[in-house]
Amino acid sequence: MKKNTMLLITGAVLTLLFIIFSTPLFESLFYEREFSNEMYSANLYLIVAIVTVLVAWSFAGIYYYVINSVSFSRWYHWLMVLVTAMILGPVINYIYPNNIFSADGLDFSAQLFSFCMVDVIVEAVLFIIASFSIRWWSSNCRHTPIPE
Amino acid sequence: MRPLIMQLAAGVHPLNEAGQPMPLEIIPVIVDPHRANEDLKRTDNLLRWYKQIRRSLYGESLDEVKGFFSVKISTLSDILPNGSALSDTFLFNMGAVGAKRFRDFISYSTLDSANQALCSMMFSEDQLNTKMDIGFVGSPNIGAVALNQFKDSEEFRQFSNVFQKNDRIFVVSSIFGGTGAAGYPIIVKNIRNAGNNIQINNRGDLRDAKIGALTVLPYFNVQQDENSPISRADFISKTKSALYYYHDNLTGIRQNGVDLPLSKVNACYYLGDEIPSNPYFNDPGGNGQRNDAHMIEFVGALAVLDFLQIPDNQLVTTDGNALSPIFKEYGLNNDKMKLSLKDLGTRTRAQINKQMVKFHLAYMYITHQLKHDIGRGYTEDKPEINNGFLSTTFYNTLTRDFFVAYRMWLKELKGNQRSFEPFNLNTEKLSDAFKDIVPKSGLFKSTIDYRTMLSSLNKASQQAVKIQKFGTDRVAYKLMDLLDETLDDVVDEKFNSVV
Repeated sequence: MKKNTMLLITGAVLTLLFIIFSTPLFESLFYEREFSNEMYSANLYLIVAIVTVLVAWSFAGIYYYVINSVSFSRWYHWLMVLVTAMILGPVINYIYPNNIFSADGLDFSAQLFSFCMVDVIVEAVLFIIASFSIRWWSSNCRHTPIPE
Repeated sequence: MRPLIMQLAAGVHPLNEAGQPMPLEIIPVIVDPHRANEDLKRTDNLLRWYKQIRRSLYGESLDEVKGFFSVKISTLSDILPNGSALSDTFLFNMGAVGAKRFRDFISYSTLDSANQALCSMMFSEDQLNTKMDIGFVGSPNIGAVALNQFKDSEEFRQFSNVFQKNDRIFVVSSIFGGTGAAGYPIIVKNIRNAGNNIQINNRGDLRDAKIGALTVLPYFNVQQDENSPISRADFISKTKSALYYYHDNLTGIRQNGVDLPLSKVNACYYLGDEIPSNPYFNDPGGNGQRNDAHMIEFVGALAVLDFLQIPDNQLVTTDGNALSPIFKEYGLNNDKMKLSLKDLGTRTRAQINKQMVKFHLAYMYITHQLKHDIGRGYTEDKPEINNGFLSTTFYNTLTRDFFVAYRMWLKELKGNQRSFEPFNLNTEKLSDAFKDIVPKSGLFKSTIDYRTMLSSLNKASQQAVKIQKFGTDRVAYKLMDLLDETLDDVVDEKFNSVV
């Protein structure tokens, strides 16, 4: 099987594993008893994981196949998209859970903020995984950020 | 030769009867005793550079029908079997001629008085004292004697060894000078009389070879110089006397006062222009004769391609005579003093315009943009084009030698009269590069620029990588092939008709 297809499959498998094991993974990265219990009860770990994955893969897809421009094909252009994903994903993952908590009369804003700082890193990792999974078929950006 | 080399570099090929490009190998043999002639030197350089570039791209392959530099140009020694004594050069060895005065060449001092008197009638004192290392200084009567060594030369003997029935011969000469005017009939005569020359092989095939010839009538002007044997005032009279001779002995056959419907040449091309060029510096000797390129020469190169496209059944020769000789002139589409690609004849435009446009775009890209694109897109696909490529012999020969000569040639064509200016040399913008060829524009149409080219190159390279078209080390070929393929689509997409 071709190397690029293997990388796509590997990326997809890693992403799936992340979703499946999102709860223990997030709790190992950030744990505060009450906050983590509420997150678990409201099934928010799974939602946060899915949002993180969607943002990472869709931004990668947009960069490599929608924008796909020679004017936007340098490594720092890719970095701009990475930073944007690192901001947008955690912002969504702050707003949505915070609304859920507020509706229940709970205030975990400080813990949520710390959790989202961890999510920034997770977002970056997933974006990199997505990039290295799907870039190979992009006509103008397949060698971004690192040549094949 | 210069415009022919440029047309071949652009990837122009003769077409077969189905309109498909034919593979081609050309063996130029330049006959000129004036070795220091500047035009000769730069033509020789151009041929060598072309050969080097072509070898880097395609090796020794003979089957290429597409791509820049795909026609093969070889020296005579290249096609001879190993062990040949010939030098690897495009120049006919005229050492015996160049070293002597004409008087010594014909051993004038050893002639008896009757023969000396005869010689003195046929040749002036100046002509007898001419040192032939600067050629025949516009005297075909000298050339006619000196060039008779052609039939006994090693080149002709070796040429006969490798000549095959399906090969074609094309003779290019000017009619208003010395070397060409004399050399043309002598070369044709020696080929047609091959049957009587026991020193050579393939006598029958040579005798009945398909021969075409381009005769260039006066088209350029020289500055008047009392001290020079060359004068424009003589051009017309020399032309007339040569044409009379050709009529009776070469392009027509006159026997016993009767014109026979035969010719020694299968296809004759005539070119000239009533508009004289800018006057060239009149310096026949030493390092002189560096004449600016002219439109007539560009059209003359087309005659070679046209000849190659004539079907075999129209070039039949029997017993050294062409049965149905063809005679051609050339007509421009527009009679103007400043010409562009759109002013050429219809068939010419269909055959060469697109390739010339593509080649110029490739020249602009390689000259102005390639080094900025290294490290991006297609340059990273295997085999990679990296900064080391800019130091290769191929790249240096292409950019520092060939492209410099190409640009100089275009400048000369533009500055001459009548002027030929196919491209705008004063811009780095692709959309402004052509005269009379307008880029497409519209609401959702972007104009052509280097980003367009890079994007197209990336897409083409992506497809090439899938089939490993360029292997692991054919970097030069990758660059030129991608450019050729990409520009084919880009030109159609971004320009209103180039034909």
